[in-house]
Amino acid sequence: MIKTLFLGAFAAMAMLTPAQAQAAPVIGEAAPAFTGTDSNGKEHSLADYKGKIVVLEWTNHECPYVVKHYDSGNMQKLQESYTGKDVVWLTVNSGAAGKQGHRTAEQANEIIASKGAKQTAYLLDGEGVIGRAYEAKVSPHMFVIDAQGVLVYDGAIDDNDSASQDVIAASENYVAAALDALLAGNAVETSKTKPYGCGVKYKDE
Amino acid sequence: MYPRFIPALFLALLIFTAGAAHQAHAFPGTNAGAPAYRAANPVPDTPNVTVTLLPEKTDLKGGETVTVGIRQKIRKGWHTYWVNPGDSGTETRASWSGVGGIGGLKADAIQWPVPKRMPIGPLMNFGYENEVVLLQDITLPKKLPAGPQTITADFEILVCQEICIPESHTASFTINDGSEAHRQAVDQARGKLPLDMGWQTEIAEENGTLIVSTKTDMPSAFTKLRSIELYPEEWGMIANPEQSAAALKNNVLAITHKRGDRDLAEIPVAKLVIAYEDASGARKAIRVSALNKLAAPNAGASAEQKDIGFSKALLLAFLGGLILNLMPCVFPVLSMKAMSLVELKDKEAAKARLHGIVYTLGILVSFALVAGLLLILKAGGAQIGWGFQLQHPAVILFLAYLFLLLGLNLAGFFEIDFGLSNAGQSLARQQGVAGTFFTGVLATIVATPCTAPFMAAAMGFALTQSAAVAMSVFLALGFGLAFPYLALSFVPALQRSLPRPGAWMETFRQFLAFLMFIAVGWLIAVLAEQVGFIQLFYAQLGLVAVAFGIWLFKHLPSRRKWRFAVIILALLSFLFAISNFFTEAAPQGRAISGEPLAVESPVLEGEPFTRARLNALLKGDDPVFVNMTAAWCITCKVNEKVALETRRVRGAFDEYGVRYLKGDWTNQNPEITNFLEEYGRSGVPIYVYYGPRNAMSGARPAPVILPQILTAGIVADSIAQQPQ
Repeated sequence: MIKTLFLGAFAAMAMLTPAQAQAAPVIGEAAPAFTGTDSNGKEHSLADYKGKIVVLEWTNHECPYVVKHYDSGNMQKLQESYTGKDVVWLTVNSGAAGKQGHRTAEQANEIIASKGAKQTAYLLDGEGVIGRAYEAKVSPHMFVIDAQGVLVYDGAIDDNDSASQDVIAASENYVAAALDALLAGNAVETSKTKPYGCGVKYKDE
Repeated sequence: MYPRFIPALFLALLIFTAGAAHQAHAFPGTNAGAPAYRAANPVPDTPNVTVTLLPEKTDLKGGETVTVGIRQKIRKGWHTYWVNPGDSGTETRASWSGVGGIGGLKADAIQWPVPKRMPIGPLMNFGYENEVVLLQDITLPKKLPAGPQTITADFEILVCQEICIPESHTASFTINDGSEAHRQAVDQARGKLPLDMGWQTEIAEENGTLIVSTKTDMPSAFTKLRSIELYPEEWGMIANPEQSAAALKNNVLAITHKRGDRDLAEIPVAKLVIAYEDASGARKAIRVSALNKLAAPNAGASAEQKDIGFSKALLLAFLGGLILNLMPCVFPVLSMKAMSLVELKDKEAAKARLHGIVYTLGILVSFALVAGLLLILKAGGAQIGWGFQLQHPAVILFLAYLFLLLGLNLAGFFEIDFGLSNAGQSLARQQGVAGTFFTGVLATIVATPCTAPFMAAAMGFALTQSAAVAMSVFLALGFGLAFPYLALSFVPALQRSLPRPGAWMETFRQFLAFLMFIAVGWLIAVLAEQVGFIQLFYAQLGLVAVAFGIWLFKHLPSRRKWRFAVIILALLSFLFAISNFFTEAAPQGRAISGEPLAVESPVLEGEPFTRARLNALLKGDDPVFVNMTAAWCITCKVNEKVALETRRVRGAFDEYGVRYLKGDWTNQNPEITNFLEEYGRSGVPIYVYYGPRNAMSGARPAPVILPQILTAGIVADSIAQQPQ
């Protein structure tokens, strides 16, 4: 009893310490709203895509783990396959100007062309606003939002965090599984995994 | 030994279980290759980390274990990662191979020195800068060729500054060639490992905060509370960039940290490193393992074990209760009760319904009593679960006497109105309402030794919930038990479907007596596991004494003097039987012995389960299979016979080198109760399979909880599914 009180007091103390500004995105709750500008200067809001499934993919083309999925063609294939099924695929680059992986609109379009990427749009988030709203930690960190705007997946692209392309074929792709489930009208089975990759190079505060 | 319908029933249940197995999704076509996207592999020109192997000894024999230091020299400004890298990154992975005829090298998990917190923007990493020496224990193969041998390891190391580069390194050392050992370097590295103190630790969550409380026997070490840092070995337990807060009260160190966004229920046992500065300012660290009370029963990945909701628990409990009616101990009671409805006339329908309701009440009231007692004892901190009643030998003996009496009664040896003896009589002359109520109580008592399938999941759920929820689940179980008779008493159409009364009823009644005698045999076998030889002998004499006493009463002489003497003799006989209740050894008197259960096959003998032994085995690399059983658990025994002791399973155990631990919950054992609770259960059986350590990553896959109804195939398949 005394111990419970004791612990309770600590919990209260811990709550009084200032929490981070924004609330973390929570599986099963509304995904944080955002508006971003893509590599062609067009604006995209999450609200625009109500009624559609949305995938968010954090990227940094100099990160070996992103290289793994683009040089193998794995990411492009996912993009092509699911945008073909009316899924909105937004690639987000939250690398700050002057840091590794940052891309201007022109450079982003170059990458899209040279890699044959098939996303709906490539959002430039050099200020890190979208990244921080989603607490995107690594590239590639993947999120899936269902047609009602509810966050249903947050985590790694697949279950093998090796940087080698050789393991992709035998990996279980969590994003594909989540999207297949949603498209079939089922619940997403694995909704939270440990994202792997390189830390997102955010703008210094 | 059991009626044929039991295996058939299990088979039917298996089909349910198998249907729930979940499917893995894989993205198709990723291996098709896409030449258009091919680019150069990102191999750096100069490595950012260099790796040297530092064996503690170089003069080694076959089968010997040697600790090897893995020294990483890291370029200035760059870092490598701890076992939990934090918000990004990957830990170092090692894969060992022998060269020149040394195969079968065994590597334990990497031992990680205390890491540092490394903030990068809003993210936090845990890792090492400049230089670090990881330690790993390597066991040489038994047959080691003579002369110098080279031992090689491949490393995958992710090294990052702001940018990250995955590097592959190969390093080797030579043994038995007189080359230098690095005892001092290894000793120094050992000094940087967190000390495993085995302190009792609990974790809890309150309002988004993780609370770790550790009972420490050196509270004076933690004088600089502000220096305390918490490093969970599992990802996602804490919000990494946040700071820990710590407080010390008496000998309990409480650390709070904003929780991470992972579902804490996924982590059954949390390993935590607590770093601190001692009074002299030296940085130290301890390591503790915390039992996670928040962990759900589905900690593994078993289909059956998804966190069952309240309504599903109620349904499972009800089904479990229904199935109880078919168990050999309960079936005769129900049958005799049903027989009394056979001669029913239409005008007595209302009376039949009354009896149905009273019978149901009798069951519900006795279930409420047993469940209430269980909940009260649990609230008082007793380490018990469902089936606790059977952990005392006196209860087993009482049941044996009771079943014997029921059997003798059914066989026609004597007539006492137990509510069972009125088959063939009209309902009007039948026992009163009180008798029917007692039949309900009796049904509950005789049902206790039988754990029906479905019950365990429901009971396990119930005991982790509030008292009200738990009680509802228990009552649903009782209602399931009462339901067949209740339905029969309410629906005349069902009554008419019963066979017509006749002389066969007496024959059937006598047949049912044998089921009771089988139950007596079973209980005596259970008792043999709980008490010593002499007590067992007295118990069986007690059974004879009960029958003898009844026989004496049946044949009282008419002469007064003799009559008195015979009554005294009969009473003495009963007294002897009753005295056995008090001479049975307390169950704790005989600790779980290492000797195998009588029914066990000589081939697949498990080691007795202890927590210490399990921990020791889990530190090794071999797969581990834990079976929690009890002599009074029928499901356990059936599983052992039809699955675990088959050639196929024994073969799989041999082939994959599975270590087999067997916990015997026949008597009370808090260690086992704790283990059960860790996996969300309140009773046996439970089967947990810990896959082998991955040679590359040094990590074990999440433990798998097997279904409660086993087949050889289920066991063999889960062992053969070697996680990569």
